[in-house]
Amino acid sequence: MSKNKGQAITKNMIWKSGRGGTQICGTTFLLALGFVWTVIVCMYAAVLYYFGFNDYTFTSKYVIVVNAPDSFIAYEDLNPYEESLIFYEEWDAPFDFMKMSEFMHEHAAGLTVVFPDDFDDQIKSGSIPEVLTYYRTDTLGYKDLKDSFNDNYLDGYKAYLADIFNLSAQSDAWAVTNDGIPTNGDLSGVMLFAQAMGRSFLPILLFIVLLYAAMSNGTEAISGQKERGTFSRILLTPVSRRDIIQSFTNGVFISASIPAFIIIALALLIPVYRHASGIIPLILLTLSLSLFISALTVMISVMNDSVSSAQTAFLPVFFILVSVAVTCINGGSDPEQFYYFIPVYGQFYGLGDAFNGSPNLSGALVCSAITAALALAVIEISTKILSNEKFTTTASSEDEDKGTEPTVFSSFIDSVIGMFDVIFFPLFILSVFQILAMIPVAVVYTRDPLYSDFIAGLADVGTVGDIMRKAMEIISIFMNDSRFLALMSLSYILIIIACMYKSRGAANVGLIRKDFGKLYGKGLIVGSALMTLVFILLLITRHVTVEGFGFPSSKALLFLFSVIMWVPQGAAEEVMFRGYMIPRVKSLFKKNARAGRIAAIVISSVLFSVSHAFNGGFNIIALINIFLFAVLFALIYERTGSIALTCAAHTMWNLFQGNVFGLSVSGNDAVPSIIATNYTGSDFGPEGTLEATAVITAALVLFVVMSRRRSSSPKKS
Amino acid sequence: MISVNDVHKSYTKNKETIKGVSFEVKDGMIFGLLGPNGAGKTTLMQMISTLLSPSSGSITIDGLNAKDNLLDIHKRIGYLTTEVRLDPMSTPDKLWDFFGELYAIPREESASRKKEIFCKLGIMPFKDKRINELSTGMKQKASIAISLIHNPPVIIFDEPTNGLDILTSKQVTDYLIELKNEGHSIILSTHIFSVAESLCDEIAILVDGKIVAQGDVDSLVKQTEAKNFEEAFFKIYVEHHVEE
Repeated sequence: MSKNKGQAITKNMIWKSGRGGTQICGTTFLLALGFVWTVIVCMYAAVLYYFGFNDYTFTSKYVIVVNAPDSFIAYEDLNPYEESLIFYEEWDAPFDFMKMSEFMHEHAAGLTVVFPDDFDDQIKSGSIPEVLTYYRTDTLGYKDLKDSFNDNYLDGYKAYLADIFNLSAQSDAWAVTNDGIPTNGDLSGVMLFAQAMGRSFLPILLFIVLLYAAMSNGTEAISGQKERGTFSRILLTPVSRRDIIQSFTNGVFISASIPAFIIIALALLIPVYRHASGIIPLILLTLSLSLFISALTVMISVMNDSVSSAQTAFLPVFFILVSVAVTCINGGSDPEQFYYFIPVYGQFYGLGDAFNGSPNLSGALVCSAITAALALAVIEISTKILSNEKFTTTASSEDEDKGTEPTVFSSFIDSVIGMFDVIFFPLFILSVFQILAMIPVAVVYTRDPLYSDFIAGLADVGTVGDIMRKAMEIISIFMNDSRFLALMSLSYILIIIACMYKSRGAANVGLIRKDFGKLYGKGLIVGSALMTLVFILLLITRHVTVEGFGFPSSKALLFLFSVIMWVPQGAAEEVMFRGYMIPRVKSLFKKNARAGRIAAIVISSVLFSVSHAFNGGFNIIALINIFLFAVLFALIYERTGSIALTCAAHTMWNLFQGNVFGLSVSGNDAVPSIIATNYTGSDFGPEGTLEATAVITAALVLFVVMSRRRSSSPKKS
Repeated sequence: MISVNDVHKSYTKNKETIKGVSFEVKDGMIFGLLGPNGAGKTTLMQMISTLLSPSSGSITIDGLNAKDNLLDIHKRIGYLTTEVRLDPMSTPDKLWDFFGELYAIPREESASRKKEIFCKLGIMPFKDKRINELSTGMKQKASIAISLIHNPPVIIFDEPTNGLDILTSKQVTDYLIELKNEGHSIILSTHIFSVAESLCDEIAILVDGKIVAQGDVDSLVKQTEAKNFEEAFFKIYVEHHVEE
């Protein structure tokens, strides 16, 4: 009988899914995993197809020169490339890495050099043109090919250029750049971006997955058992307290490591991240971090009596670890050496380096050992805590003399948990669907020569803020793509369905059948009237002048798509910020209905306003305007008990703004519009102007006065 | 055998829940704890089961104390209260196997014992149903079965017949008598006088954290000159309870 160490507990935990208090976390977690899976599969499909090259067994020496300038062809005639062949191709979009890959497939080449169209002209005018190189990544041999081509052949070309264009007078320009023709580093823009992702996105994803999985299983483990009253029976078995803690920790550790390793395996499917030398550090670092986080969650679980209080207690840990990760991202790719030995920092930097093929094995070993030692210390502390009867028995209902926890505190904790659910669910699904809708369009977009500048800019992306700004820039450009508009319409419908599903029914997100048509009709009038008023004010203040009327028939389809998109777009935002959020915030204030109402209106409006903050040209006036707009809509929702009116008004406001008056909608540039206008106000569009403030404030005052009068008159009569 | 010696327990500094309790339960004996809500019955039973430790005084089970031989005591006691519940998403069958493993009972032994106890308590028909789908009586029977999984010599049951119908209640009390005859020592707490009367060899009446009367049913009735046991209880309670 002495052999038993509680392995049954571990087994039981792994095979059981989360339940009860953690069901919300479970669904969110699954959603997140599904999303990650989709993104990775898309990346894999695209990248592997073009960069896989698994069909070659030899190292190709062939080189493709795209858009070769006349001077280069002449140079090649004089000095043939000794090693092997050069192929010439033409292609407008220098950043279309897929097309370049196709060329490489076609000619079984290992390297592509892309010249700008006007290379010779740029050289003559004395500027330094940018030459891109793409090379295959399946073996390191291609980097050597690129280096030797650059050093041996292009250097000669540089000298030749100086000769034929007689640049000796301007030789300074060449001297400064040192190697004559600057190539874009060792990697193409896309590869740089992929490496930056490997150093930031992948480790942070692993961190979040580990934290999330550990939190949902760990808080459920002991505190959940205490909550359900099943823990004392386990305490009374002949399993020592240490073994109980150890087996629960093992359960959390294994169930948190599984999703983490799935993500690692998925990431390794992408050739950029596949490096044999990185495998051992990846495994060591992930396992040690997982063990540490599991030990922490179990400790928090031991100290709490219910799942929700354990989750609340875990939130600071969650945020501390995530902010460490974010500081690591902002700290750049070349940290001080000692960071590699510190737990958590070491894991973050170590994982990033392992994905990018430059692992620090000694750092990984030391860091993992320290982290594991810390985890063991935490387990020791948990054992001590579990030996204290304060943490083993829950307050019994029969013995009222026991000092029970004050009830106010637990309801506060419930509110905090509820708040997170209310606030993050809409923002989470919004971002997921928006990104999913962007993927197909983004692929098309790299093939378009028009956007080379934007892609070139991606190489400079370093901080989280940069990524955000670039993403918003993309959305602005995508608004002119009917495919994107169609996908977004679909996404908005899915968002509405997701909110309805989560709230169990359309009626619970404010989509009430009663009077729907009537209210919707009113909303159409209200929305268009408000926007028209803003437009008239803008005309009076001369911020807008009308230039013409109508749009080219070629844009008719795009126009139609954007008109269609505004309908689910308005409805989805109303569902998220009014129909879904307001009743949920209110329900957190059971005792004080008035405070609940005010909190619901203020919180939903602030979030609505802040969710627009990343759009281009956002300013303080826009913040206030959108807040006031949201308050007005929240009041209308409160008054009518339905979001029909605000859905319609929201749709019409955006439609009139963008497609009728040709102004930018919340910073996103307008699509084809009926009236062509010249606008000289805030970059954010009319929503960033004082004119809009005036109109919205007037509408708000009018609404409040009217509803006061209406609600006071029946009392008198 | 259980012996409780001058046990005190206080959760907060200036208030004692148990104010000096002593008794002894011999093998093959059913000992009943009777008392109103809040008298300290559950606290007392939690202390005997080692979930709580006394502020002062000592509790030994077969001469072992919780401080030095915690796991040995765990092997010897079967504990059941309304606070100790079964995982609502599991089934009696799975739970038996889970705890069988935690008690390190050999697989075959566990299986044969499972069959025996499940048959005796009539659990067989619903052994694969989820706990949250079971009725109160079924849950209670499953809970009793699992508390006895390791055939413990000492049994501590808090209100074992609470909320059960007459038939189920009879099944349970019959089984308890059978266990007593096999030589187990049993501590029961109950509200139901008929159960106390028919089952217990000795009864202690607990009021405000103190044992105010102790003895078999007949002697308690005689002592208070009451007509029956129920009346005896009320007389004792009124005599000793102090309103605060």
